[in-house]
Amino acid sequence: MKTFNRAMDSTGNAIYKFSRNKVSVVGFFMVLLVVVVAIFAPVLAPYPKSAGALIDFDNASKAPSLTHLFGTDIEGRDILSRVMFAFRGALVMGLGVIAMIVPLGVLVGLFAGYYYGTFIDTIIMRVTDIFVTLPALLLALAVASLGRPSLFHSMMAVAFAWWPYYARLTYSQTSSIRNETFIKASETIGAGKRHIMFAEILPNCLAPIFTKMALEIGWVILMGATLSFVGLGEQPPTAALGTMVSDGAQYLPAQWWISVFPALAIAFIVLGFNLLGDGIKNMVSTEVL
Amino acid sequence: MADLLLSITDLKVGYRVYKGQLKVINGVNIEVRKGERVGIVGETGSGKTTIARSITGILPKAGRISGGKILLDGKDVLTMSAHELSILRGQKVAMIFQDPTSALNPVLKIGSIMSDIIGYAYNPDGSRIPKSQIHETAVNALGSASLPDPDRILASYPFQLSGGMRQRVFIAMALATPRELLLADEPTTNLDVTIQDQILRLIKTRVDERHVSMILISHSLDIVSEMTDRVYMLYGGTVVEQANTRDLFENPYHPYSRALMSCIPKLSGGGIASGISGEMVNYLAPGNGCRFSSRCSKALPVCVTEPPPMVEVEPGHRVACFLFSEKQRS
Repeated sequence: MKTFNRAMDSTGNAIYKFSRNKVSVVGFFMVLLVVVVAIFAPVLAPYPKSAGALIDFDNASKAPSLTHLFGTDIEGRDILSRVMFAFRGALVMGLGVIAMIVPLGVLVGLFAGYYYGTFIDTIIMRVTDIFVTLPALLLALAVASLGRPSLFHSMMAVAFAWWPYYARLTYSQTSSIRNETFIKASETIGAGKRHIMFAEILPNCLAPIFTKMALEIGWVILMGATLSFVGLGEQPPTAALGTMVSDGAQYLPAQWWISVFPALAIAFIVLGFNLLGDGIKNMVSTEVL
Repeated sequence: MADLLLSITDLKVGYRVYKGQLKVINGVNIEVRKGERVGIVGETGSGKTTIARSITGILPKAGRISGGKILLDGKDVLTMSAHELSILRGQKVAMIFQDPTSALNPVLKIGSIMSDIIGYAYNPDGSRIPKSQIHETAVNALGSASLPDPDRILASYPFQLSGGMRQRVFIAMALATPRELLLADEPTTNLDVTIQDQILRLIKTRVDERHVSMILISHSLDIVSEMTDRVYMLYGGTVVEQANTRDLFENPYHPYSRALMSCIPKLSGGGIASGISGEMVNYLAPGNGCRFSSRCSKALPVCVTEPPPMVEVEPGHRVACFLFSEKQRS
């Protein structure tokens, strides 16, 4: 993580920049809450058994009460517990997809941008252009429906549809930084391609990449939830937010809690990541605050 | 000649633009001997920077070298592979840019830039500088560029330093390693006058100490006359006159050089100089003749139609002008 540290003045300064925006601090704690809940779900959940295939018709379709804060679904499972377990899948989705697409997209964009104006650039970027012209959700749906539905396959599908945006961002950065004098200067002293790409150009691209990344984790989670809403994500009985919303949809509006609480959970996690993203954006900006 | 470090013969460089081909550098010959300080003077747009960039192979994308040879230490820079070129650069060439701000990577600390530069250099015997010595070399280099507190500078980002300090840092970097040719492309243009003087002194002392060759590119006659042994006067992408610095400034032959010298304001009075009437050459259609002919007060008919020959008027003093050639006399 040498380059990452180079992009920031110091840890203290970075934290200071982050904390200047109070809303992003709120976002940080929202995300922290989600992460803690997801990790310790078996301990924290009031009814850990509800996470799997439990059938308890005595408690089916109970409205929110003190015993079941979020109510229960038609099979009698505690919705709060299921939401807590579903955070796990949502986080794996968000972080996993970002971890796949950012290195890939950045590498492709860096390479194409370095060879700006040559046929390498043309081929790579026209391929990414084709990806970008297809609506990401449709592409992800199409890819996800190719294989057996599972969390991993839905992650692959989202990654497949999403990486070109990182390639394009890095490409546009790289192709302009490529012509800066300091790149010419390092060529003059004999620096090689690899050094110029990774040690000179890449650190200059990091701020927008981190910003985009931080702002998009929430959207990736939302897209994952969309896929699981149509049945292409995590399969029952494992809890997934999208599946829970779609399962409850047919009982609206009478048994509203079955859909509404998982939907609010999606909103919470997406909002948390977006607010956190704003803070990270401030943190990596080179602006002297 | 054995002590020839750089020899450029008949270099032709053009730029592709929308309207066609800009024929900028037209048959330039330049030689630099080991330990020699050579100046290239010319007005804005005369092709000074294009020559420097051709030597280091960092022309902009639209630029194309259409002819000639650039021999650096006997090896042709223009025909070698990219890999060979990068090794040769690492061994031989250092460059100081016009604007030190844009020539330093804004997200890297000075220390990390310097260790890259030192790490990419080669000793004269072909070995690399060992990692353990990089820090020491960097500190010494900053010290010799009269920068106080090297450790603080190594830990700073470029934007935390002043303009003068950045250029000092750049000079320190350029001369930190045993490279043989220093290309200084208008090193003081972006600095104010007092700093300019300090920087020039620094370059001069450092170049003398290290016995490196230097090409100083400038539009300032003052700077070139103080800093160099030999001068090439450039006009419109051609060398119009070349001589030892003292000879050229005391006794210019070419009408352009004379006109230029008379433009220097003198303390003894005489009013504001008249300047040179007319406009710079149009590189799209420069014509075959002397590129200065349209502005030259002494132009002959032949000047417009034929390229002027290089005439040796005195030993080592050459002028590209029909006024001094046999052709004109006969």
